[in-house]
Amino acid sequence: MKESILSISEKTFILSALSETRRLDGRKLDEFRPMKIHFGSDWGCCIVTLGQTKVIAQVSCEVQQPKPTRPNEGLLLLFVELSPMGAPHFEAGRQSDLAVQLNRLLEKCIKDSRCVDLESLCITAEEKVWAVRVDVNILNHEGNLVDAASLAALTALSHFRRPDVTTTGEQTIIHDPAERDPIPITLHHHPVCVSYAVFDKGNHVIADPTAIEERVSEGQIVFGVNAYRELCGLHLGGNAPITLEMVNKYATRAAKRALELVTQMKKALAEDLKNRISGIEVGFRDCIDSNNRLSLGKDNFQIQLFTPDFKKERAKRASNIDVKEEKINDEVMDDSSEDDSEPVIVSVGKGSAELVNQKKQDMKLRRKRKLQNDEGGKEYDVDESSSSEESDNLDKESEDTRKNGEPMSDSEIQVVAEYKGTENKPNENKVIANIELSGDSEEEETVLLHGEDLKNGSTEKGRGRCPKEEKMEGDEPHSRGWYSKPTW
Amino acid sequence: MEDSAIFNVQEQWLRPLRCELNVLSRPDGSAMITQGSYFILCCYVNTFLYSYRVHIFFFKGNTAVVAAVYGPVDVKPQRILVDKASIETVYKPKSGLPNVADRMRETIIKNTCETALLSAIHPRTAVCIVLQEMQDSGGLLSCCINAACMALMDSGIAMKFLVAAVSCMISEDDIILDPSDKDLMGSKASLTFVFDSAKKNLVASHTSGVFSQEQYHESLLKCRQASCEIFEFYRSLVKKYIICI
Repeated sequence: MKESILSISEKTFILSALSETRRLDGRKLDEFRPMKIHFGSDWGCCIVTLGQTKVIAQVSCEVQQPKPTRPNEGLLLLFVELSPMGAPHFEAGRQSDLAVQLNRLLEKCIKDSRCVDLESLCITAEEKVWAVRVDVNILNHEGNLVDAASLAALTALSHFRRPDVTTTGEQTIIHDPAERDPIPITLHHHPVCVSYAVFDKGNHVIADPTAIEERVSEGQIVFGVNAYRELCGLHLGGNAPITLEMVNKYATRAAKRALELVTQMKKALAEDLKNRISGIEVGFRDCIDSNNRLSLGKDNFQIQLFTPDFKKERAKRASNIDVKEEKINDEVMDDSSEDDSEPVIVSVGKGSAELVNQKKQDMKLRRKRKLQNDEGGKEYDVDESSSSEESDNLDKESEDTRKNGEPMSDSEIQVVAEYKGTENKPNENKVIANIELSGDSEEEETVLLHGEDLKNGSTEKGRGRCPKEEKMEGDEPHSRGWYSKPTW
Repeated sequence: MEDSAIFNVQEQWLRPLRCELNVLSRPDGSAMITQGSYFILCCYVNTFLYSYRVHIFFFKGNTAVVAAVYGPVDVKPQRILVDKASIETVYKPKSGLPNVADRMRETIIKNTCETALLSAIHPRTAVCIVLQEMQDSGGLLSCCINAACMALMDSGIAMKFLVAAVSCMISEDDIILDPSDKDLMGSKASLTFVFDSAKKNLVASHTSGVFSQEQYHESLLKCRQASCEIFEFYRSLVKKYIICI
């Protein structure tokens, strides 16, 4: 069977969703799918599920002659098999490009990082060594096969027990597992692959891509990282321009993920061992929960654009609140804006405020902000519960200030004046927008003002900063995509 | 659904089955079947003072298979059949390349599914059945056939009937139903029978080893009786999944 063609509309849909930091399955950009490990009753057999991706690995061993170049080292062989079970376009018994690539990546990660102690697999130098073979079979391909396969291979290797061997002079005895307890393989460290997909010339990088995201992506970054945060392998695929900073940044994140994975793996291994010691027979039977219809199976709703966050946001909008809030958990894609990833409340004149996603503001604004920060202004970070309250306070305070007729600084006078100015002359290089108070309309223009307004407002008693100071391109009103597009 | 042992004939039972449908998202239909588990036998021991309840644990292997089906799909020109759908079967062992026994198994599954499917209504197409061994603790072939049948049912392709496979073995003196790998060590012959759900007719029979004609007939009878339990299991499974589908 041929691989189904990816339509342009699917492609653009995914890309436009990504540009609004949304993913089809409702994950955040740097969020990974949940991982589960099930062990079979044999040693060295496990299923790893990563979201819907399912991979089974089995380790086996046999006695072989060592390589003449390395006479006292055992052999480690890794095989990744793509059967049509995983996806219809995989063919049985034929090495496809993907299979070769996966094989090589796994070899890079596990074999070349020398995590398996090969010397302990030696029985007699130059004559007999253990050849450990890892077979990884893909059961279901829903993207990120590398991560699942590498984790499955590593888990199977750490789970595996080889028969005990004694050598007496010329005789070598391989003991039956019933006779002598089999011996685990020594692993020096636990490297796993963590992969990212790159979109839009490196502007969007997502963790743990699904099959469709992989097909749309411009490039892949695969890190082989161990739990000690050591890089064991790096693969840059595709044609996306990937900078050194990006590699560094995502390598640190990958290390964090690797630590999580390895901890989870060790926990699963310990639990399995505990069950085996206490006499509970372990097997795949346990991964089918007879009370649950889909314990291993897929979720019924795979596309989850309407995440709880989104619903909350929509409900807020419907209830007509001045301060619109959104919880922005998404990672910001360029380095410079990392510190700005928190939403910021900006006041849009008296009695109203707007929450603005800082990362979408342009560099010009950032530079301006730096200047302002030097002047003592700070960003005002908002958390969901307090934001509307705060803005009320702000309003009251600003009203109070005006009523009380507190001595105003020059800057504040300037503010008022300038603000009027912006209202009157829309073509000026300032932020101009209609603040939308009704909340019904789908089309909305968002005013881009600055957080310093609010900060100053609350701390310096309504001494709002002038919108003019933020020299924005006023002509392009910043609109949040998922507000203005009713289809979402 | 409880994992109760199926006491079918006295001291003869099938290992309890567990099945999950739709385990894989890519194929049109998929099923995972595990067979075998602990058996708990409850006995009451009466002494003059107390009545004890004694649980006796047996463990009989844990065979597990995943099957996936791709419904009528396009077919390679060399395999095209003008009057019916061509059925392709792929059996993947857990480790290594498929050997002769695996190929044999593949052919038996293919022939069985060909009988069960209404292939004439999809000419010039292919039905692809993929099986992945996950654990072999005896009765792998029967488990594979049952899993393939469940996957076909899950995919919603038209079938004449469902099939149920039961394996048994002939030891020195008696016939053991659904033997585990430990039981099979002392077997003279092992037999696998496949029955249809409509009339409980024999669909396929696969034997190895030495046995007499009487033994064959006797084991056929026992397996046919046991196959009813499997069909009953299918029924309960469909009842369970009818809400999902």
